[in-house]
Amino acid sequence: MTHRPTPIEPENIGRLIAERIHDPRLRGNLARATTTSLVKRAAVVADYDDWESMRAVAHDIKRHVLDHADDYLARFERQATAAGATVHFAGDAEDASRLICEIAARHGRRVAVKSKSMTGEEIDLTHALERAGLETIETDLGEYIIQLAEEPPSHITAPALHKSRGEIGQLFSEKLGIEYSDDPERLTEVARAVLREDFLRADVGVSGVNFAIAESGTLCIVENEGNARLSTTLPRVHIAVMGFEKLLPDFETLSLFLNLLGRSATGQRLTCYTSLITGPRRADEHDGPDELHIVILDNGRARLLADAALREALLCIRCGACLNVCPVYQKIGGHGYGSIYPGPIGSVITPIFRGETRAAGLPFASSLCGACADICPVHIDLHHLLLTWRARISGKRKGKWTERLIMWTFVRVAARTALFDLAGRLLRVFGPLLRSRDGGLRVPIWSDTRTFPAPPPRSFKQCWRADQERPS
Amino acid sequence: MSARDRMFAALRAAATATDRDTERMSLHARLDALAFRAGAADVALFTTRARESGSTVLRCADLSDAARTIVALVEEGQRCILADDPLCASMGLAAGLAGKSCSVTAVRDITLGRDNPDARRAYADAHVGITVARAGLADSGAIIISSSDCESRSVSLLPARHIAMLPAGRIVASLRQAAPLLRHLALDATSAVTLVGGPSKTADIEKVLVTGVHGPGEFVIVIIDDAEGQ
Amino acid sequence: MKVSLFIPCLTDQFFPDSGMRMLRVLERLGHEVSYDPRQTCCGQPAFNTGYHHEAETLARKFLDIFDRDGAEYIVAPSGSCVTMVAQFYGRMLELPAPYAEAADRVRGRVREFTSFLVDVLGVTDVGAHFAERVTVHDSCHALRELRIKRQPRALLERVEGLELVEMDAAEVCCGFGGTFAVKYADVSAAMAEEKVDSIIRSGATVVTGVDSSCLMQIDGMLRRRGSSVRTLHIAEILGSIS
Repeated sequence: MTHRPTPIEPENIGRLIAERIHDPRLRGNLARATTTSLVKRAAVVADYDDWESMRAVAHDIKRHVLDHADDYLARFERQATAAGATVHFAGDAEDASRLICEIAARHGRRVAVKSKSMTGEEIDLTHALERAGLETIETDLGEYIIQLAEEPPSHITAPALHKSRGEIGQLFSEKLGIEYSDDPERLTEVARAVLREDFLRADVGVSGVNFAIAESGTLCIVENEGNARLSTTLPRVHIAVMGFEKLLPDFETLSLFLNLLGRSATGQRLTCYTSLITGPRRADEHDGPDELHIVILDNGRARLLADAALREALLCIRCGACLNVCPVYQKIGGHGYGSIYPGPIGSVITPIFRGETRAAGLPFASSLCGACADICPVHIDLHHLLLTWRARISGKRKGKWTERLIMWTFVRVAARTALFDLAGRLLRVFGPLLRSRDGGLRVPIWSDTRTFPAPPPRSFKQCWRADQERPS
Repeated sequence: MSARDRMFAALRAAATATDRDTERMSLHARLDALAFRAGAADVALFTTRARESGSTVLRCADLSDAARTIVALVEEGQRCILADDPLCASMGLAAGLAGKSCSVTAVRDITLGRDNPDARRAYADAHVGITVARAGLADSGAIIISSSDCESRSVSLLPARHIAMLPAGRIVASLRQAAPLLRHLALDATSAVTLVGGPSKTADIEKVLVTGVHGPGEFVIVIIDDAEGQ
Repeated sequence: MKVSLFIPCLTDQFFPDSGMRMLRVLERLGHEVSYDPRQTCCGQPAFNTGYHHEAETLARKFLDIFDRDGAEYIVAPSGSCVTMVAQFYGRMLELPAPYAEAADRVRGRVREFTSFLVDVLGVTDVGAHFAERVTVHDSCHALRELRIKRQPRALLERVEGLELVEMDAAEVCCGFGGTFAVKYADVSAAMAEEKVDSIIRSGATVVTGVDSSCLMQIDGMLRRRGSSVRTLHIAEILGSIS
C-alpha cells in the first residue's frame, strides 16, 4: 500500500502535526535553523539601545498608512504610472492570477523566472503560470529546492528550512542528475549554473514587493542572492504583485523599515541587495525591462482593514521572526500548520485567506506565550489577535461539542461556590479510583504524555477554614 | 464596479478623518529622534560594517592610487566591464587594465537592448564589473548604486566580481541621511537604485552561509579619500 | 496593610500549600490578610479557549466579590490569573457597564505575589531558609504581560541557604497554555520535554516559578521522566523557615 502524504491544508492541522511531531530529523533541522536566526538577530538588534522605540515608531507609521491608505494608494498609483509602470488591481487570488497570467503570456512569451514572493504563494501564482503554459522557474535557492521537491514553502523567509543538506543533496542528485553531494557550497554552485541559463533565456520576471513608496511610485525589494535583481533586470517584462498594505509614505520612513526588516529576518543590518525600482527602463538606460506591471491585491485585506480588532495584522512586514521564536513552530515546522503563512502571523491571517472554518484549528495551535509579540519589529500583539480569533471561532460554536460541554459544565459549577466546593470534595473522594499507573490522576489525553497531580487531601479553602478555627 | 474602484472604496471607508500631513510630520520627528539617525558618517565604521557583511574594503589616498589598486586586484587577461563614469575616465583605469592584457568594455558599448542575448552573455562571461557608488552608508557598510546612461544594472550584477569605487566624502551616517538622494534618484533620474550590502549570498541550506549565488560572489569597495582629481 | 487573597481555582484544588505559604509570608510581614471563601475561578480557562460568554459569568462573580473587599491590594500566587483580571477584564473580555468600571478599579489593586512583595512593599528579604539549588522558570503571562522577571530572583537571592542557578532558555514557554495542553497535547508535551531538558542541564534540585499551572506541566514531565528534580511554587520556598 502506498502512503499518501496528508495534503498541506489548514483543515488537516491535526494530522499534519501528528506526522511531524515525532520526527527527530525535522526537529533537528528546525532547531538548528531557528536558533541560528535568533542568535544572529540578537547580535545586530544590540546595535541600538532604543530598539523598543524603533518598534513603536514603525508600528505607528504603518498604522498611519492604513488610516490614510486611500490617499497613499492613489499617490502611489499616480507616481508609478507617471514613471511608466502599469498599475493593476485584483480583488482576489483568482483575479490576480488570471491578470498576471494574461500579461505574462502576451506576445507568445514562454519562460518566466520568479523571485520569492509570499503574496505569490498566497495566490498560488507559480502553478497558475504553469497552467497558463509558461515554464515557470523559482529562482530563490530555497524556493528552487522546494519547487524541485514539489512542496510548498515552510517558512516566510527560508522556504526550505525544514530540509537538511542530506535531503537536498538527494533531491538534487535525483532531479538534476548530478553526483550526490551534501556540501552546501557545491549544491549552491549547481543551482547557480542551472538558474543562470534560465535567467538568460527568460521572457518574464515575476517578483513580490517588500515596500511600495507612495511619494515616488517606487517598489522596494530586498534579498540576498541577487535573483530578484536578475528577475527584474533581464526579462523584457517585470510583473510585481503586492498587497496594498506594503505602502509607505516616503524614503525617510523606508530607512527605518529596512533597518528593522534585515535585522529581524536574517540578522543583517541591511540585506545584500535592496532594489528600488521606479518604472521600467528609461530611454537613456542600458538595461532593465521594457514593461513594468504592478498588481495590487486585496484578497481579504480590505476586510481585515475594516475589522478593528484584527486590523493590526496588516502591519506585518513578513520578516519571519515570530516563526523563529515560536516554540510551537520550532516543533512542527511550517507544513505542520497546513498554511502558506505559518507560525503566529500565519494563524492570524490564514483564517482570512482560507476562511475561518477551514482554518479554525490554527488560532488554537499556540500556547499564547507571547514571544511572537515581543520579537515582532512592528509590535503586533499577535497572541492577542489569536485570542480574538478564538473568541470568534468558539463564539460561533465551531468548537467540538465535547469541549463546549466541558466548558459549559465547568462554568456552571464555578459560578456557584457551593457546587464548586462540592465538586472539589467529590474529586478528593473519588480521585483515588481514577489513579493513573504513574500515581497521578488519570486525565484523558494529558496522562498519555505527562503525569497529572493527584488531588491533595484538602483544598486551600479547607486548609484556610481549619486555620481560622485553630485557637490563636 | 471595477476591482480598482472596489479597493479604493474599501480603503476610503476605513480611513480616519485625521490630517495626513500633520500626522506624517510628527512621525518624521519621532523617527529623527531615534538613535539610528544619530550615527557618524565615519569611514572607519563604514569599513568595519562592510567587512562584517563579507565585503572587501580597500582605502586609497587619491584617484591614481585607486587606479593602481584596482589594476592590481584584477588578474591578467580577465574580461572587465567598466561604467562610463567621469571618475573612471579621469583616473585612466582602462589604460591600466589594458596594460595587464585585460579586455575592457565600456557599458555604452554593450547594447543590452531588446532580444540581444549576446550582450547578456558578454555581461555573464565578464570576470569583473567596475562601478562608482553614489553614496556609502556608515551604519551598514552598504553602498548605493544606480542605473543611468553611464551605468547599467547588469554591470554590478552579472560578472563574477563587483568592484565599486566610493569617494570617502559620499559616506553618510545611515540610510536616513540618504533619503533625499534616494528621492531625487527615483523622481528625477533613474528606474533602478540598488543598495549593495555585500557579496551575493544565501543561507538556504541549513543556514550555512554560501557566497556567490546569483550575483557577484566577490564584492570589493575601494574608498577614495581624495576623489577630486589631480 | 489590608490584603485580600485571590486564590485561583487550580491553587485551591491542587496546590493549597502554595496559597497557605503565601498567606503565612504576608502575615509574617504584619499585614492584615483576608480571604473571601465565595471565590472560585476568574474565568481564564473559558476566556483563553474563546468562550467569552462563559468567561463573563465568572468575571462578574469575581468582580462582585473583589470590588468591595475593602482591601488595599488583591494578591494572587499566579501571574496568569492576575493577567486575566488586570489585562483582559474589560479590555479583551468585554463586560457590561457596571462591571467594566469595577474591572478598572480592581485592575489597579490586583498584584502577583512576588511583584506585590518587591514592587509594592519593597521587600526582598522575607526571612526564609531553604538549602537547595533552585532555578526559576519564567512563566509567560508573568514575564510578558506583567513584566515580572527580576522580582522572584530578587526574593530568592535573599533566601538563606539557597543557591540560585539560571537554566538556559528560562523564558521559553513550558508548553502548558491552558486548553492548548490537551488540544495539541503532543506539541505541548514536546515543549515540556525541552523545558525539562533545560532544567536538568542547570543542575538545580528544585525548579520554581510564580504559576502553579506551568509548574504542574513541568512536574508532569519530570515525573514521567523519573527525574529527582522537584517543583515548588515560589511561595512554598519563601514560606520556608528554619
